[in-house]
Amino acid sequence: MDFKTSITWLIPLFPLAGWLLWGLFGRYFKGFSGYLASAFIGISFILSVILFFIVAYSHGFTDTLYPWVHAGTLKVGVSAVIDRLSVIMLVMVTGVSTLVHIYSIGYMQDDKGFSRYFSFLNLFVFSMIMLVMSNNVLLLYVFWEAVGFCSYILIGFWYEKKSASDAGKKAFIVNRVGDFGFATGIFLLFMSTKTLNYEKIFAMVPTMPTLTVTVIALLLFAGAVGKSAQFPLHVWLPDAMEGPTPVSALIHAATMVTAGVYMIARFHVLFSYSHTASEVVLIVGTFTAFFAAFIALTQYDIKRIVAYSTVSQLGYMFMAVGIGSYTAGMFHLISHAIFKGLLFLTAGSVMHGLSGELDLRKMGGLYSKMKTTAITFIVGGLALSGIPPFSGFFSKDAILADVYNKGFYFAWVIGEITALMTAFYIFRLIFLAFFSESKVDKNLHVHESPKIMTVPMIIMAFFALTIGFLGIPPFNHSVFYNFLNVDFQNAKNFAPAVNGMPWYVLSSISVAAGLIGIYIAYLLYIKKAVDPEKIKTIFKPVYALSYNKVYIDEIYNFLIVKPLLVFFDFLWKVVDIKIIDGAVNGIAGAFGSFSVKARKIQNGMLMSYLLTISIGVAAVLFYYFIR
Amino acid sequence: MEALFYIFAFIAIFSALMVISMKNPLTSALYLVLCFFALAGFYVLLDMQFLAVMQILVYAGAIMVLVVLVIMLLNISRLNAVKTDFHQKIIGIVIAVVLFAEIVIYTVGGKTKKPTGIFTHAVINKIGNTQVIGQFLFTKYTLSFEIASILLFVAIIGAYLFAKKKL
Amino acid sequence: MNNYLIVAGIIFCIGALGVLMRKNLIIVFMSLELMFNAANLGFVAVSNRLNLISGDVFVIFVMVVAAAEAAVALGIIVAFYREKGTVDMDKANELKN
Repeated sequence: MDFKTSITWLIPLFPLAGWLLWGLFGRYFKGFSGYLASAFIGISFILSVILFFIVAYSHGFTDTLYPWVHAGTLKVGVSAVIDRLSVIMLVMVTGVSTLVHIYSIGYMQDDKGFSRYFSFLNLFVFSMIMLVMSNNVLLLYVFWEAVGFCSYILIGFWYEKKSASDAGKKAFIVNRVGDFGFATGIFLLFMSTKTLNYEKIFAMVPTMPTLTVTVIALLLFAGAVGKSAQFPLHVWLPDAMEGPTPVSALIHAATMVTAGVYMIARFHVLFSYSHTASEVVLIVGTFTAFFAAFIALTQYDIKRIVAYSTVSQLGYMFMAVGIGSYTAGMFHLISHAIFKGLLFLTAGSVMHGLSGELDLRKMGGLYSKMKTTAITFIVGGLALSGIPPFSGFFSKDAILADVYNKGFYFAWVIGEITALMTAFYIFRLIFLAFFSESKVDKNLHVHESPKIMTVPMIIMAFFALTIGFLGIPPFNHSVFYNFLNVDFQNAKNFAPAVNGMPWYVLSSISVAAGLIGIYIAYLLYIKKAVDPEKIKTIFKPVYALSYNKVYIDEIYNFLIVKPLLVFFDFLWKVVDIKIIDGAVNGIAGAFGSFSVKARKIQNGMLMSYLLTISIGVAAVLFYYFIR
Repeated sequence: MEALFYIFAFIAIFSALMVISMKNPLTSALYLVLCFFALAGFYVLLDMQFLAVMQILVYAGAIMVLVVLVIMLLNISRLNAVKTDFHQKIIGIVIAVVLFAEIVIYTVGGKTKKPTGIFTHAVINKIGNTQVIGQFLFTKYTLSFEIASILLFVAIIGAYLFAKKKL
Repeated sequence: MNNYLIVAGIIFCIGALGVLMRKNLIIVFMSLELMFNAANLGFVAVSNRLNLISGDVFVIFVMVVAAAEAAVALGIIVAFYREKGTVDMDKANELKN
């Protein structure tokens, strides 16, 4: 093993070791497990950065740690592909993880599951790193499920709470729907290519029939829809907010939910060879972006607003990969990971300061009491709204500009409207929570979070401000594009740029949309030019639709859960109890009642035994006689 | 010889009937002894004087003495006679008749085998029936003989155990 | 020869009848002895007819078993009497359970 491969395998080793250490010996570490876990992930982060520079100044490589499955012609190894795409993801994952770990030390203080929490978190980081690094579909699938499992156990971390364990189950079951498609896609892929290795698959894609490629791509996309919470499988993500807030920041904003986008970027060859599949990705992404932003407009739970915002922003990313702008999608993935992680951490800080209060209607005027949190939150909000020079501006604009320039005007319009709504709902949150008059319970001692929580927030805010400069100069000349596009050379360019609208025009429109959104929020909630309640009554049906999350949960309940429950009720009460139990008990009962009768033979009377013996003798003789 | 057979047959069947119909067990026991004597007579008729002697020694002499001893020990004859159910009698008779019918049919209707052995009347009388049985017992049936001795030994222990005051 | 066997059969059936009809354990025991002897007579008769000795040897063994059985059976009867104060077979009803 040379230097770079040893670094490669050391990156997942530290979280793995952490998982085992805190998981098995957590109680001996007590409070130290948090610091040690952060240090372990920090080491992984430093190694990732080193690996990043190695790859940046030389070239990518693949390495097999050990052969895993050797069955006939099938050879699968535990092997990593280290190229520019995966090192960027590695740096992002380990970087955000480190900050979230440090933040968690403060946030999870005094929780009785402290070591358990860090054990799960390390397991998650390990799984995510392996998911990013894996160079074959089988390994990808294993860790795809592993991160889903970690998400499940961390959503239900406070398992004593019924809502938390229910949310965990919901996340798991909804993900199963997508993963069923994902698994089927992998089977189909293996059937048609006879290999699981990425490189070999991609080499074969151009020779495969378009229909096969489309079906496989759509099935894989089903997995991405589940994992990345796209419509119609987005329902689990808002509920996942039942978990600890740092978990929401790390898993349900920054890393795991972006696995779907990463997967499509990784399989860009496959998707770029299927026009239909890519268009489906675009449509789903666009619709989800709009739809989730629409729901976020009227929510009062700050974590849920940010969660719907995540769904919406993931929709942007799918828009990007759907039109073949993989670098733009990845760029937004990275910048979103940072500013959305930041938003969650600050939301957690607000919760921390308000002793767990999440309802916007019970906040207000927090700016004066928790300045650091407020400022970092506003940084995150500006980044999300796409206001220059924050990162969201560069990344979202890159996507929208690409969408426009490749001729998807309708998607572009939707994207701009969504941008407006995004700016509105996040500043509605900011104004209601931090600036308008205080509605906080007077007995509550509002306080700023400790340094161990604010410092990661400040670091994140710094990156949310600066990471966007990688997107200069605009379009296909940016630093980020030039760095990453090397990995997407094999993609078939199915939608060439049609007309070059100058970048400043498009950017101006986006910024204008963002500013209008902020201004409306300002008018409504600070100036009180129009009473929000009035608008509520005017647009009552629309408001109700948004407030009730478009009744998706209710529709699913009615269409899927209820009939299933009825069906299972039937299985339980009729098939199981009546037929199966009836058969089993019936057989047992038949033997029982027969035995009750047969028992009378054994009456203990010597006389009757003698009688029976004599009858037997007579019968045996009779048998000899007739034989 | 024919006459002797019928006399013995009559005695045997009559005394057997008396055995099962007498109220007093002691009377039954004495009729059983009589029955055994008749059977011993059959053995003599069948050239097995040794067996006839053994019959009288073992059965009439040993076993029946034991039975009479037990009857007297328990003083059963003075106990109230045990009643017999009517339907039990009927069932008993039916089964006995069926058994008898089967035996008769099997005996009369069965194929008659030709003699296969060499021990004819003359041979046995020449060697002496005791010696013939002895030869078989100590050559061909040695193992059975030894096992029989073990059986008797076990029976002694068993009888002792049962007869102990405390089980 | 058939005559012997029929006499043996008659005695055997009388023994069986006694076993089935009587409730006095001692008489049942004696009826069993009757059945033994009927079987013995059958053995001897067949053995005589077929010019064999095995049947006669077997009778010896039957006698051994009968002697052993008598010792044990009478021991049981004595124990039974001590337990129940009677030799009525209807009281021998503890074989169940």
